Formats: sequence, C-alpha cells, structure tokens
Amino acid sequence: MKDRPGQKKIKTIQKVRFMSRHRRRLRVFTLSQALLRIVLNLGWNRLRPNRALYEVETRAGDFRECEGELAKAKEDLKRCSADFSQRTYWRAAIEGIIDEVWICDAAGNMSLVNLPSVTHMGLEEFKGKSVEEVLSEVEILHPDGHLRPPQESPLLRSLRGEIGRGEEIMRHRKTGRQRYRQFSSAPIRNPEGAITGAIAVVRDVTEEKEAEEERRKAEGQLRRSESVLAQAGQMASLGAWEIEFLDQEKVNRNPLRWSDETYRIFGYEPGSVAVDNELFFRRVHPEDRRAISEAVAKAIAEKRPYTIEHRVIRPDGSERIVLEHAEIFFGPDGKPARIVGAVQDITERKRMERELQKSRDELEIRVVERTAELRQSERRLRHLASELFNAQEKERKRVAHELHDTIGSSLAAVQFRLHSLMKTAEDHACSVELAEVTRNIAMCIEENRRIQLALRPAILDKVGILSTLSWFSREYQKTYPHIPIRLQLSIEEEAVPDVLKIVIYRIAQEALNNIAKHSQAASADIRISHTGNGIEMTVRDDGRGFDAAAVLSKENHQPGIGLSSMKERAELSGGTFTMTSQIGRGTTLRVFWPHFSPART
Amino acid sequence: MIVLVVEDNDIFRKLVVENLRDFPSLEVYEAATAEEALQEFQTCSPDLVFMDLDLGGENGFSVIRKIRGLRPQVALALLTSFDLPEYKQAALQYQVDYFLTKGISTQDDILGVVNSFRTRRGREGRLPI
Repeated sequence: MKDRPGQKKIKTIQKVRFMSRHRRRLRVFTLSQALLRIVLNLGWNRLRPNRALYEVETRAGDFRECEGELAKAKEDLKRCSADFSQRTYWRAAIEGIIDEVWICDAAGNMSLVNLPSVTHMGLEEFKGKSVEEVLSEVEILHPDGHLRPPQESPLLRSLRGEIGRGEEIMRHRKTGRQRYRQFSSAPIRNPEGAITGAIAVVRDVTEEKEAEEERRKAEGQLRRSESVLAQAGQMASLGAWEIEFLDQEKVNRNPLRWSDETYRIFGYEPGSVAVDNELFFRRVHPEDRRAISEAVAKAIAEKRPYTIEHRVIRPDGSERIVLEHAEIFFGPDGKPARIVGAVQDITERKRMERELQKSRDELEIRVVERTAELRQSERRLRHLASELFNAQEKERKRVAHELHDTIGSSLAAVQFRLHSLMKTAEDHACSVELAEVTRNIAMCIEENRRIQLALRPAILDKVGILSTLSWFSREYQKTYPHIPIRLQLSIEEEAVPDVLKIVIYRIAQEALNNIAKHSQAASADIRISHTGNGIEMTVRDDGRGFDAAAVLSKENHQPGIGLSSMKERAELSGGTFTMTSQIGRGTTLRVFWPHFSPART
Repeated sequence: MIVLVVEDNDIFRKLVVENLRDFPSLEVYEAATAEEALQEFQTCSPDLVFMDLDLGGENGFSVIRKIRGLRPQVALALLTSFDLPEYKQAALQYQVDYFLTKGISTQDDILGVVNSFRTRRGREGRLPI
C-alpha cells in the first residue's frame, strides 16, 4: 500500500520531533565520553608514577576540559528543557485555538496544521490528503467572488516573502456552502533570515459576516422607515417626544427627547438646542402652562392618557396652536417611568375652522337677513291679502247700503204710496191693476233685499254675529232642507270682537256652502264657544269626508278659493285653522283665535 | 202729542211725515241722521219716535239706546227694511214698542201705531209689538 501525502507530512513531523530528542541524547553522550576519559587518565597515572607531573597537568587540562563540557552540557540541558517546554506550549496553543493554523516548509509542504483546519475544511481527517486533494473538495474565492488561483494562496505568497492579510471565501463544491474567512500569513525565517517555511492563521468569520449583513439590512430598513416616518411627520406636522423620569425629584432635569418635527413645531432647527422640560415650558404660552401641568398631574393620578390643546410661542415670536396627546408608562414601583407623546401643529386647521365658522356665521347672518326679508314679504303679502279682504267687505257693504238706501227706500216709498192708492181707488179695473203693480214692486223689494243680504247681511252690523248665524242657517235650511243645521252658540255677542264677526260669518258661510256642494252630509253643526283664553269655532258634518292634507296642499297653490280662503281669513285675523277629515267619516273644521289680536286694517 | 220721524231716505221720510200730519193733534218733527235725531229729540221731547234702523251706516239701535238713556218712557216704533225674527228679537231687547217693515207696512200700520199709542197712554200700559 502506497503512503498518502498526508501520512508523509505526519512522518515529517515525527522525524522533527525525533531529531530534537536525538540531539539531547548526543549532548549527553559527549559528556559521558569526556568523563570516561578523565577516569581512565587518572587510573593510568596511578600505574605510572614517574610521569606524574606531566600526567597531572594533562589530567588538570582534561579536567578543565571536562568542566567546560559539563557546563556546556548543563547549558544545553537547560536550553533543551526550555525549548521542550516552549514547544509544548506552542503545540497546546496551536491545538487549542479555534482559528486554523497552517505551517508549511520551504517546499510548500504542510509541516503542521491544527484540528480546526481539518474540521473547517469539512474533512473527516486531514491525514494523507494533498493540497490538491483538499482543493478538489473546496474552492477558494476572493471576497469579490472571483476564483483565487492556488499560487495566490497566503502560504505560498508568504514563502515568497510576503506578509498576507485579507479575506477569502471558501466554497464546498459538494454542498455549495460558503464560509467567509479572514487570513493572515507570514514567512518563517531561520536565524540567518532565510525563509524556511510559512505560517498562516485563518479565522472563520461567516457568523460575523452574516450577522453584519443582517445588521446592515436591518439598519437600512430602519433608516428607510425612519425617513418615511420623518417625512410623514413633516407632512402632517406631527412630532414625537419622550421624557424619562430618571430623577423623580427634579422632574425638569430629566432628559426630554424631541423628534425632528417636534423641533420644527417649536421653532427650532432639529437638534440645534438641548431640550428639557424647562425649554418646553418656556415655549408654551404663559396662559396655557398651568393647564398642561394640571393635565399631566391628572393623567398620572388617573393613570390615563391625556390630550391637550395649547399655544406655542416660537423663538421668533410667532404663535402656533398645537394638539398634544401623551401616554404615561409606569415602572414596577408604580411611579411614572416615562411619558411618550405626539404633538401636532393644528394652527392651519384651527385657522380653517375659524374661517369656516366665520363663513358659517356670515351665511347664518345672510340666512337671517333673507328670512327677515322673506318674513317682511310674507307680512306684506298677508297685509295685502288682509287689505283685499277688507276692501272686498267694504265694497260689498257699500254696495249693499247703496241698494238699501236708494233703490230699497225708494221702492218702499213707492209701495207705501201704492198701498194708499189701492185703498182709495174706486175703479175696480184700476185697483186690480194696482194690486198687480204692488206685487211686482214687492218682488223687486224682495229681490233687492236678497241681493243686499248676499253682499253683506245688514243684520251682522245692526244686530250681531249670533243673530246673523241664526238667520243664515234658517235661510240655508230653506235652500237645503235635507241638511239640518244645529247651532250651538255658547258665547255672548259682546264677547265677540267686531272685527271677528265678519270673519266668523264668512267662514261659516263658506263651510256650509262646501257641505252643501261636496259633503253629501245628513246634518251639520256649528259651535262657537269661549274656551280658555280664546274663541273657538267648529263646523262639523257627517258627510263622506276627503283627504284633507292633499286638498289643503293643493289649494295652497291656488290661494283665495275654497278651503284656503277660509284658512286665509282665519289666519289673517290671528287664528289657527285646522281641518280634519277622513274618507267616510265626515269633516271637522276648527278655527281658534287664542287671544284675539285684530288683523291689520 | 209730539212725534219724531228719524229716516235717512228723504222720500220715505216725507211720506211718513205727510201721513202723520193728517192727524191735527200730532206735532210732527223729522231728522235724517243720528246726530240730528238726538238734537231734535232733546229739542222737541217727543212722546213717540219712528226710528229707521239703518241711518246711513249708523246703527239705529245705538241711537235707541241713547234715547232710552235720555227718556226711558218714550215710545219707539222701529222701521226696518227686513222683516226678520232676529230683528224683532233685537227690538224686544231694546224695548222697542212697535215694529214696522218698510215696503211691507202700510199707511194703516203707521196710523195703527199712533192709535195704539194713544190707547196705551190711556191705559197706562205698553202694547206688544
């Protein structure tokens, strides 16, 4: 079986070890020879006394020589022992360290490697493997990833006299696993300075490398998020701060940390001043300082976050409004350990809110003005409507008077005379003729009365509303005998104000006309009473009813007719008009004049 | 016997006055407005007053109230254009003694009032309307 190169190296190491032991033995041997010579010479001279002096001298010389050898041997022994122990330490050190140690001779053959060198290479054992064989299993790359030629290996470079320092990547061909390594190498020189070998120490820095890579990535991410956060903070004018209660006694001395945006909000360049609570309070508007202290104290006492709005006076004197929200964190001892807060510059928002409020107020004023104008127009319209009703009534009254005073009275006079003539007439034919004329005149008188009453019943002005209603329902009964009217007038004539009389009459007239026209009622009743502090009038029928809401809303678009005319009259005279009706359940109309206030005249 | 005729329509007033003057024992005075009526009433102190209810817009009842205030015992004959129960009811309230309707009541009715008044005076009693 052929020896493998790895085994050869081990043999070389063993040979070196043997040589060092042999050398010690050689020195011991030389010493023992010198001692033997001295003993032999001493014996020899005792046998030959005649040659004594010479012999003594010779022996003295030998002895001295012997002494010298002995001293040398002692020295040698000491050095040997020191050398031996030094080598032991070295070996132990080399075997003990976690770094790989590679030592080669001048020919480039490995003379010494330690265990880590074997294990790091991923080899079960190094014995018997040549460098080529090792390199067949792993490849060495420069840190930049380029393949490193074998002649550039640190040991070989150091054999050429270089001191190598650098990094390399070792890749296992089989697994593809990569290890990062740091190496340093140096030539080994003999006392004469000739290179007798080289040593390389290699450290596996894969873990550190990976950790560093991780850290770099993490730092990169952190920086990115910080920059995003800072940007967002700047955009939102949102700053952060933190105070740590290291000193519970002198709270204002505790370190306060501000984010860049917090600096800007308070009017400083980021990091341009050392911040503490005193500086913070200096920047707070004097009137707001107490509120902040109280809010913090309350939040600590109640162990709750707090929110406060306050003013900030910047170093340049400008005023800002900020909103602070902070949370208190407590230590295990229950005392506040730190407060973390956010501060937002809401000056703009506040300004916009104020402007919005202002425009709202202006709008409100405008609405009030418009409403007032509308009310004014409405009043004017009501006044006009009222005037219209008044004018209409006045005109009807005037015409009725005219008819009464002129035609009525004249006809009455004519009739009076005709009666007298008829009494005195002797001619029969003449008296028949006169009777015919009297009948005709009577019809004229009756017609004239009818017209007057239709225009405006004089009875209303001469006697009153109660009599008028009684007369009207009697007249109504003549026309509509199938609708009996029940009058319930539980009020004194004097209790009804004059201006209301015509209103009550017109509403009753309109209501009864509607009943006759639309309701198909079997009966109706009119009530007027003094209730509470007002006058109430109701007109009820037992007719077929109708959809009151629909009719009223429709009628609103055609004012002045039908229901809305009653409503108008009621409201213009200071009353409220309600009408309730259900299909099949009749209709009730109610007008209530609370405390009578006369309509404008 | 003194009679006062209050009527705003000239034709009708003259007619009534003429009819009354046929009685020689009657002293007849006339008035066209409420104001004149009150003035005349105080001047002539009539025993009987013919009173139109409609005095050009003035309410005859208010004149009646005033007259009654001045002389409660005066006899009153109301002249109206409408023969309505409500008027008669009101006339009763105002203690009107006679109720005449223009265009319906005749010369006889007026004379009837005068005669009735005379009789009543004799009997110290008041006649119903």
